[in-house]
Amino acid sequence: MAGADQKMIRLTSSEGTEFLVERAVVEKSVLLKNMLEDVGESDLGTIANLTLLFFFIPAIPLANVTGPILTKVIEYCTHHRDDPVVTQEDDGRKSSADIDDWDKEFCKVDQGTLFELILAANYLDIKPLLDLTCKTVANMIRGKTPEEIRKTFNIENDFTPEEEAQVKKENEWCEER
Amino acid sequence: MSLTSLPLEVIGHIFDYLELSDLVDCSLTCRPLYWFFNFHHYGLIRPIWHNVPCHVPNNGVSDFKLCYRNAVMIDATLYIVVLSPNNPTCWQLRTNEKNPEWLRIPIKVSDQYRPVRYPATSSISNQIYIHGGIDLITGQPTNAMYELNVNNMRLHTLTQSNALPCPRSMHTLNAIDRNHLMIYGGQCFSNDKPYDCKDYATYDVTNKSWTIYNSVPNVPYARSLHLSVFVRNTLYVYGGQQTTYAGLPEIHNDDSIWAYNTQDCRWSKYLSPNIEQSTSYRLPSEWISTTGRRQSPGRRVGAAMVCFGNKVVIFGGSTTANWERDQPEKPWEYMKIFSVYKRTWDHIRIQGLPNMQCVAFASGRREFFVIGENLNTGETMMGRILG
Repeated sequence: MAGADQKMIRLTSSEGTEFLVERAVVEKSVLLKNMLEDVGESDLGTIANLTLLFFFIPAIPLANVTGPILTKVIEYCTHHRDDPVVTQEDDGRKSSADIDDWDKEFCKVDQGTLFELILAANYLDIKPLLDLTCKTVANMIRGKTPEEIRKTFNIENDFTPEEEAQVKKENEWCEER
Repeated sequence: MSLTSLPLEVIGHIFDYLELSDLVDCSLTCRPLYWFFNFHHYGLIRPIWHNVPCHVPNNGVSDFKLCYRNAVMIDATLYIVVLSPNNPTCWQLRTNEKNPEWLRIPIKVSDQYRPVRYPATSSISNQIYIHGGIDLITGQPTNAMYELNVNNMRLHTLTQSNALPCPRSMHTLNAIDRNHLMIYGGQCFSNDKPYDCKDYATYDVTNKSWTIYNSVPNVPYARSLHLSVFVRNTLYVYGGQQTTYAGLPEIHNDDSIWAYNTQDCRWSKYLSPNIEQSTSYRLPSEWISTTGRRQSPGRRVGAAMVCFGNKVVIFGGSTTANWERDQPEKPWEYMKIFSVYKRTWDHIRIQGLPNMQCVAFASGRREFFVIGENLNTGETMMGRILG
């Protein structure tokens, strides 16, 4: 449990569920970090009395994020709260092999949840979470045939037979070694 | 929530983690992912040629055939300057109109005016610069230089100080910043015999002086009628023709793309992918190998070269042999795309692109305006490629 000196932030999910989160955890989100910096220190203050907290701290409404997804996002940010901030990598090719065990376990969710997590990470601007979830999806695609990809993601083949033949033809003389 | 309903930027993140072969498999699953892939990989989704009727007034037909390669685009208006002996003309076309019409505007010239053919042109703000060409009175290459103000259509002869580059035609002129123009290559004459050159020089429009570079190592091979495009401190040079010992032109046998960086004043050469396979010895450091699942554009003359995003694209033109062996029907419909950062070649089909020699201008994020000559019918044509 957070100490009384820890600054707390209230987040409200799309259904109105409230989450009380330490500021250090919330600040993993660049969007929220910038919002908090705009509001300024004085408005938030350090409030010793936790019972008063709800009256003094305005909640940040997150209309695009549902409660269950926000729970997952907070879980991720709490686990990674002490990670150093990764600076922008300029390297073109990204690696997708380096996922640690905790992260792997974290991503063992149904596809709907995984995509919602991607959207939330994108919206809240949490780059490590966006990278992790996108890597996970990339790993689900890698090495599969088009038919297997369709099955995995429940994609309907909406090409007409002529279009499909054309698209296949365009791509068949691959010279990459 | 499904994969295909994710926003484009997010799909882009996922695609960044995949190899090309996986992306291709992904693109074969359904239309949305096919379009996402095209946009991510080529910067274009489904490029289609749209013909724009080109009503060239009768008295301009021959002008257009000779001069369209010198077209200059300023603020979505295309200018073709024709420095003919009797009626020097500037043709104008507002390319952003739905059915643009050519306007014929007479140029006001001074006493020193000499008609020329095959000069090189470029523009800085609303001034068109015209350098060299064949002087139609002497029949010899010239190094005269003109400045045409498109607002008042007055043609000024520019004074030129310092040593002048040798007279030439069929070379290229590019604006490399707000005050400098650069010429490269072209055909010169020596004792009435034509030869191609490979020197380059910059002209400062503020103090009207030239700087000639002729002792720089690793310069592109001599050529004329080549293509050049300048973007982000880099001049790209490709293709063109070479003059044989007999004095006849043939398509240049160099299929590399050359890049001149105006910051460090160095040339580098992007080899075509097939060369990389056949060489095992160490390449000079300025020679950069490329890869790709597609062939590079090969040897071409009269093609169009445009930069957009971090890509250099080449299409159209005439080529040696029967295009390329890896392409089935309508090989001229394929736009060759070189990703400068990834150093990879690929191509995308432009549906309906005529077999033509042409020049092109990027006129929007995914749009090109094209003018050229149909190689089957010989007629002048224009169109837009909408990506």
